[in-house]
Amino acid sequence: MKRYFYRLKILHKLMISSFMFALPIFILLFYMVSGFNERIRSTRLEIWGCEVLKPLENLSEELYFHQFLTRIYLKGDKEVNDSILQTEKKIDETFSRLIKDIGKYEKALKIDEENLKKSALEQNYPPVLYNNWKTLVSTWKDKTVEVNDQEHSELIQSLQTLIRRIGDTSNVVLDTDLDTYYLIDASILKLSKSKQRIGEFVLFSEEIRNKKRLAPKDNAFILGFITRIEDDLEHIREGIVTSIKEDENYYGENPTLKTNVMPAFSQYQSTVNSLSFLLKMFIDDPSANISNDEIREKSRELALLASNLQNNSLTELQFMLKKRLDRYDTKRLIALSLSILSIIFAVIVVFLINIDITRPLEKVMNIAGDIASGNIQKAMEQIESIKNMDSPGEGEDKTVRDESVLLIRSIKTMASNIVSLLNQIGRSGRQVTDASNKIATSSENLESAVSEQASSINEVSATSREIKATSQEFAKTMGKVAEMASKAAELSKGSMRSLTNINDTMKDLYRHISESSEKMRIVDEKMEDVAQIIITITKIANQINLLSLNAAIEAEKAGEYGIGFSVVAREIRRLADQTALAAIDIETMINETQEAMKAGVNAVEAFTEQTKMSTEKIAEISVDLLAAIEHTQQLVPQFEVVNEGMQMQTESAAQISTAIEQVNETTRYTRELMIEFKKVTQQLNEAIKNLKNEVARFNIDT
Amino acid sequence: MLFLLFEIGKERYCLEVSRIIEITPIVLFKKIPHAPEYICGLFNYRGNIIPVVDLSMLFTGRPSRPLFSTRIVVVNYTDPYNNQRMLGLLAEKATETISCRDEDFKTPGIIIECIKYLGDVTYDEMGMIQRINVDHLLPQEIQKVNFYELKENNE
Repeated sequence: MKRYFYRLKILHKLMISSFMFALPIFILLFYMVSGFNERIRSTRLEIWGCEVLKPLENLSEELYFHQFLTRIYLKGDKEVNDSILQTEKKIDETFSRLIKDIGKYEKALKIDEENLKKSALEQNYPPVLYNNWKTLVSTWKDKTVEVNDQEHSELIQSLQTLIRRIGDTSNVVLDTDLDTYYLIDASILKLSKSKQRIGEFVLFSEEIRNKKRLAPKDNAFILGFITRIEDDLEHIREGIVTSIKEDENYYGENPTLKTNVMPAFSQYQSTVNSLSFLLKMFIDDPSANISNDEIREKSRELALLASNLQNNSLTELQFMLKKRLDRYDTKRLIALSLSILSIIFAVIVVFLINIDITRPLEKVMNIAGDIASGNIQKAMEQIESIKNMDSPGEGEDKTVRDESVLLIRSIKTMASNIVSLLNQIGRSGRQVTDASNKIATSSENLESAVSEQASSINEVSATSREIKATSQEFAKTMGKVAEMASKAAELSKGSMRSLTNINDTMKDLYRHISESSEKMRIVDEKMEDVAQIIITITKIANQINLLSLNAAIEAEKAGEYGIGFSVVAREIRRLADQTALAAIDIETMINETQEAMKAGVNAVEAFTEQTKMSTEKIAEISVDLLAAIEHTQQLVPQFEVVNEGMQMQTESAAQISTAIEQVNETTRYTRELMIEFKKVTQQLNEAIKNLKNEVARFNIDT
Repeated sequence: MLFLLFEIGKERYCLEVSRIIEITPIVLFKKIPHAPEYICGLFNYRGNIIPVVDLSMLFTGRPSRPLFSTRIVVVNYTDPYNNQRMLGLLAEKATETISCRDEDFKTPGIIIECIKYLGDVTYDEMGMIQRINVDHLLPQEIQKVNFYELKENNE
């Protein structure tokens, strides 16, 4: 670990630690930005949802009106034809605008064909609805009032399902901020329901137009409608008021919210109140003479006002959501740019610190290098220049704590100490050299004389020693060869005997195996005979069976007279069957035995062949071996004669060698003493020379 | 009544003994070229030349195996022109008889038009046994071919 650590420069180490700090920062940054993105995405979805909801809501309202008008037409009042055509044109326009708009948002809002199919809502895909509408327009005139109503209701129902689906998929119903939450609750959820109720009521008012007296059921419907619509009105009011109150707490105030939504709501509220008053009068007091047309006009006006209120609210909602979107965008930009700026600043600081550390270190390294290579003069010059550069004031400032400045100071002290030490060594070295030179000259003279004498004696001695050693070595080798030869002769006699034994044993084995093979073959032949007999028995049994069958047939034909004979025939048949069964059992056994015997015979024959081959091979090998053994035995006596001659020669060489050795011994002793003395002088000289060289390496200016 | 038992494939069938003339061991047949596969050939029975039908081939499309128990059953046969004829049937395992009454046989509940020769069914401890109706054994068109010459002679 430490080894790898030393391979890196300081800059690299700093980079690694900076990277380790930056990694978690980047991860946090990533999560922060993706959080912002998530919020932006969901807000954008809500805006798109509102965009699509507006035409859808208008459509459902217009469809109710169309249903109302067509019902009147079908009941005989042809005057409304112009209004119908006008409404149809309006609905067509709204539909085509919706389909154009929805193309942009359908993927995001999950109302494209594929996603709807997954939720089993493919019937509610807007183009499909548009087609349904087109069929409705082209055919309603030919239908009865009930069928027409039914088809209208279905289309409106599909639109409502689509509106609810968009409310879910565009996150509108999951909104978290209080102002938008209440506005959505009022405008999308409650107001939609009220609109539906008003639409139904308009239709209902048409139904009772021609009735003279109201049934109790109709009274109950009107009362229920009044209660519900007033209940919803209260909810809507609360929602709008809370939304306006909370608006300033979320992303600043929207001045248009108050001015656009409140007036529309007040109009709606007053119309609801006047309609409910009118309806109560209509139920309680028939004498008030309130006409159906008046009620219908009022409720139609209420429907238009509700639509207007909803449009205004949705527009405001989009404004608020856009404001929120802008706020999130700005926040994301600020967070990202601040983080990236601080990271860049940190990287710059790391580089500056690195430069501050490495530059003085490099200089100290150069100085130390100069000292090591002996260039002390140059090192001193460099130290002076650094001192001037780094601390232009006082040289010995105690308050300096930077490690690099302290290091340079220590280097300077060290360099001046080295200079004085070197000077002293130089002086002492020269004195010792003079003395040692004198001793060396005298000893060299003496040594050369002794050396000459010793070398001549040495030559004689070495020659005689070599003769002795060579002859001894030769004698020893010859002795070993003779010994090995006699051992080989002994061993080969033993192997000759064993070879003969093996040969005999192999021949016996071959004979025994051949005999058993022959016997097996005889048994096999006998078995085949037995099998043949059994087949014959089976054939006979079969014949008897056939005979008895025919006998039984004849007995049957003979009728009463044949009964006795048929019993005999049956017994014969049974006997034949038993015989056949027993014979088949024996046959199976014999077949098995025969198979086993055949396998045995084959194996023994193969074995016999192998044994025969082995025996022949062994016989060949033993003949070769015998010849080799005889050769070895003849060699032994010749070796012994040579050995004796060599022994005698060795002894005489040894005597000469001993005599010369004695002379040599004395000369060697004298010479060793001389060499010892010379070596000591040389060592002294060497030491002084080394010292001189060492000092000379340093370039001192003295 | 006495019935001859035999096997085709794994199934057991029977034939009433009164229709049987004799049971003989299997012999070499004189082959008839272009004959249907279930006609084995011609066979000399005591001086009469009679055709032999391989029941196994007829029922299952597989020829009879050459076993000891595979035998020729020579039966009386009434052709469509009410002539008494002899016919050889090749059957496997024809080694046993069984004694039954007519009321022991039950209708199988299914009659297939082209195989009218399979009659009623009885049973014993070994399983079910189906009765063979010899007169319907050969298909109609084969019968006509088979005995065409005879008809001309009669006229």
